Parts: sequence; structure tokens; C-alpha cells
Amino acid sequence: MGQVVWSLLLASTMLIFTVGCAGKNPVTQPAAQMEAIQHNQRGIKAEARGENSMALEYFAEALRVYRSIENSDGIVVALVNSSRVLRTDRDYKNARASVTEAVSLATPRSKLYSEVAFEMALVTLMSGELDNAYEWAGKAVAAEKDSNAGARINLLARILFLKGEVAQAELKSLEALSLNRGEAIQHEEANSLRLLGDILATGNRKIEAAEFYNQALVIDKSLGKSRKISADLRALALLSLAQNYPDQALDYYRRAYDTSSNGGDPEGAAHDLLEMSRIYEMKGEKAQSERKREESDRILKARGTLKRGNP
Amino acid sequence: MSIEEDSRFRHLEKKIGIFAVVATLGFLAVVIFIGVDKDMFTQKYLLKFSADRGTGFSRGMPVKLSGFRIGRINSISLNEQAKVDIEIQIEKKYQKWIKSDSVAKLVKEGMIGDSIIEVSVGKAGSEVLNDGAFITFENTKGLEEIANDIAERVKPVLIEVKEIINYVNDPNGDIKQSMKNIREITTDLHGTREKIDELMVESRLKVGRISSDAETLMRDAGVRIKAIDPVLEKADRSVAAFEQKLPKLLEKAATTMDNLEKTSSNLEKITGKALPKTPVLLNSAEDALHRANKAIDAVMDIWPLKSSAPAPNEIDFVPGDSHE
Repeated sequence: MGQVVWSLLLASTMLIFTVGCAGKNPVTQPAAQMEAIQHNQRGIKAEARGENSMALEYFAEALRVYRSIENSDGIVVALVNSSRVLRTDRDYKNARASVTEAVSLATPRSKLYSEVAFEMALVTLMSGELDNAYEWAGKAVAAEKDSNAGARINLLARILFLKGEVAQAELKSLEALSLNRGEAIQHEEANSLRLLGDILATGNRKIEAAEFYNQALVIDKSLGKSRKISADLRALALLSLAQNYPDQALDYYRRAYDTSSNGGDPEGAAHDLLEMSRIYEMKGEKAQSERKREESDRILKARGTLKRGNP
Repeated sequence: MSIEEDSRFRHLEKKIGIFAVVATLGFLAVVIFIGVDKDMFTQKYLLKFSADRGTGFSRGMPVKLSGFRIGRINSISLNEQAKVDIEIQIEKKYQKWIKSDSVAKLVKEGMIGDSIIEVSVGKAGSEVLNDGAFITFENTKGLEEIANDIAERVKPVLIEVKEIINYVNDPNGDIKQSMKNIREITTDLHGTREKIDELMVESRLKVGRISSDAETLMRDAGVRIKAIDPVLEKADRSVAAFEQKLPKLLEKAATTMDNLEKTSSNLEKITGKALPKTPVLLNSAEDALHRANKAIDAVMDIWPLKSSAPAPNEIDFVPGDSHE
């Protein structure tokens, strides 16, 4: 009996391995392409860790290898990634050069076009070219055939809001919110909520705006996005000030400062301190105001970015 | 009776005969020479044409072809239509050049030369004009007509020049007014120059005052410099003290440098020993890494890991964010 069981077990194991070996082999890629893919992925990981200069080196190497084998899609990917990192470093000139080359390589029918147009919209938006940014965001929306439609429409809504077309912006951000919820893209859902908060805050619908900001804050906290949490808190602080609750505003700025200073955003922290100083000044607490201002100046001096003329 | 004969009358008849023959021959030679000169012995034929006016034509006027005389005007007469019929006589040997498309023109040889009839050579293949045929005559402009033509063309230019002169001379015109303004400006400039002169004089006085102030300042500075003297003396003393200490400091520095040199040479020796091993170590490390990679690849290639390992994706972007 035991022998029969063992024989059956051995036979089934052999069968499983035989079936497994008969399976389809994954498509192997040329060594140069594999190398470029690895450089690109290392670059993405370095960017996620905040090591931007290392990320740029990896993307440059990926770009070099892709160029050596004339892989257009690979070149476009490396250029867009370089642009994203350069944009984060506020090097808009070089970011623009990278994404412009990517645009010249990707045709509107390419599967990469939506991503390239989205990046171009962000670069032009950062350069203050609203009309140009709007045009590129429109192209990104039109070319998107995947799950990123919510992100593209979010950007379009943001540009419309900045252009002063509030009603259109509200419609688009609601559409983006629905798409992002449907695709479960949480960080873009939070972006839609924050934008809706901004839109409603300007339209004197402050309670609804606070509700949207708080929803965005909950999502950003769950994702652990420090800068986005600070942005939500600052928005809530501004809303409190507009409702004439300076103490509540101070509290939000204090939280934003705490998040920024510990999340590696000294400029954001200095900004929060400066806002606190203004509120203290408004309240007539000169000593506190002065202290916060000095603290802010100290951070900016340490960063070498103090530009204000008045003390 | 014998008749005495004068020897001068001897052979008189003969002599008279010879004289008469020579005279006749001379006369004939003159007639022939004149006849040849007047083309009386060459074969000729006639051509005709009509002109509006007979001015410029005269009997015997030469007819030329390519600058070469080929004939003369034989007759000029007024016809029933009040036009002038002109008949030209041309030597027969030139007939082959004058054809139905040949044209006769009244031209001048040079600006002040004689008038002639110029006949053009006909094209090859055209019909040769026979005796009594009509040749086409083309009117050419005379000097007077040319002068009139030029005068007609120059007249509007002259009128315009006259208008320009009038415009320039107009006392209320722009140019006269501008000249007047320039004159006024020049007069004002004189005034300005006088003012500048005054200003210069004033400035010179002020500079004098400033110079005297500067002198006072220099005197004060001298006093102050004198006051610095004790400070300089102190500095001198400090330098002297530093000079005393300097050799010791230099000695110390030299010792430190010696030590540093020894350390460097030790380091060099150690590096010299370690350096040859470095490429070997690096090669070994690279080899080890390569093998490890191969081993991992081999493991990943084994089922069931093979199917669970994600295929390398070429299209992998840094996540984009619409609210960055």
C-alpha cells in the first residue's frame, strides 16, 4: 500500500515538472537592451529615494545604450524620465530640452505620446506658459488610452483653474475624481480632491472646500506623501484664515512646518514659519512674529535661498 | 635754177602727221580717262524709289553698299502725288547683292559728312531686283528732327527743374523757413556759448575754492598721519618680535614636512605593494559577480520561478503627478 502511494507521489511530481518544462519560455531580449532597461529601473528607484543626481546618471546611461541600438521607445522613456527628475530639481531649461526631443521622436499615434505630452504640459506649466500647457494637456488627454486618463484630466482642470476658468475647472476635476476613484489611483484622487477644495474655496463654498481638503489629507497620509500632506495642511490653514480663525490657521501651519522640516523640504518649512510670523503680527504678538521670521531666515540662509529684501 | 630748201621744213608733212596723231591720241586718252572716272564705260541698271520730301537728295549723290560706292542718283522728279521720285543708277556687277528685301536710306557719312544713299544687302534666297524695279526707301531722322525729339523729351524735365527752383526760392516755403530756423538756432547757440563761457569761469573759481579746501584737507591728513606714527612703531616692534620667532616656526614646519615626507614614502611603499594586487582583486570580484548573476539567472529560468518572474519592461516611467 505504502509503495503504491510513494509511486503515485513520484509520478505526479514528474508529471508536474514535465508540464512545467513544456511551458512557454519568456521572450529573451538582447543584452544591450537588458542593460538599458536595468539602468532605467535603477534610475526610477534612485528617484524614489530622492537621489536625483544618481537617477539622472542612470537615465543618461540608459539613454546612451538605447541610442547605441537605435531603440526609439527606449530613448523616449529615458528622455521623459530625465525631464521629470530635472523638473523636480527646478532645472526647467534642461527638462524642456529633454522632453522636446522626446516629443520629436514620439508620433501622436505612439503608445508613449500621452505620457510625453503630459510631461511637456507639466514643463510648460512650470515655466508659466499657461496656454501652451493647456494645449499639451489636451493632447495628453486625447492620446490617453490607458488608466491614466484621470491624471491627465486632473492636470487639464488644474490649468483651467489657473487660467481663471473656474466653472470648467470644477467640471473637469469632478470628471477626474470619478475616473481616479474608478481606477483606484489614490494619489491622483487626492489631487482631484485638493483641486476641488481650491476651486470651492475661491467660490466662497468654504465648508465644502474644507471637506475636500480633509479627504485629500486622509489619502495623502495613507500614502505617506509628506509634501502632499503639507500642501493639504497649508490649504486648510489658508481656509481658516479666510474664515477669520487665526489660531486654527496657526495650528495647521505648525503641522505643515513639522511635516516639511522632517520630510526634507526646508523651503516649505521656512514658508510655513513665515506665514506663522505674519499671523502673529496680525494678532499683535510682535515678539513671536519676530522669532518665527528669524527662524525662517535662518533656514533659508542655510539653504542659500534667502531673497527677501525687508527683514 | 635750183631751189634752195630750208632744212627746218624738211619732212614737214611727216612731222605734222605725227603731231596730229599724238594730239588725237592724247585727246582720246583724256576722254577715256574721264569716261572711266564717271563710270561711263561700265554697265549699269536703274532702280527707283519714292520719298515724301526731296530735301537732302541731289543729282549725282553717291549710292553706297556696305560703305562701298556702287552708283549715283540719276534723276529726281516730282510725281503726281506730290512725292519725289528718285532714280538711282547702279553698276551691273553689284546687282546680285541688291534684292527685294534690300532697303535704301538717306544717311550722313559721320556727323558732318556728305549725305549718301545707303543700300542694304538683301538676304540669301531673296529675289534680285531687275532694271527699273522699285527698291524700298526708309525715312531716317535728320539732325533737326532728332534735336526736336530730344527737345520734346527734355522739356518736362526742365519744367520740373523750374518748379523745384521756384519751391526752393519760395520765401514761405519749407526750405527758406528751415534756413531761417537754422539761422535763429545759430544765433541762440551764440547765446548758449556765452552762457557756457560764464559757467566755465564760475567753475574755474569753484575749482580754485575746492583746491584750497583740498589743501586744508591734505594738511589735516598730514597731522593725522603723524598721529599714526606711534601705531606704526608698535607694528614695527611686533614685526621684529615675529622675526625673532619665525626661525623657530620654520624649524618646526621643516620637521613636520620631514615627517610628512616619511609618511608619504611609507604610504607609497604600501601602495606599491597593494597596487599590483588591485586589478587581480577587481577581476576576481567582477568574475564572482558575473557568476552570481549567472546563477541567479539560471535559478530564475527554472520552472516555476520562470513564469512568476516579471518580464523586463522597457516602458517604465518615473511616476508622473498632475499636481507636482
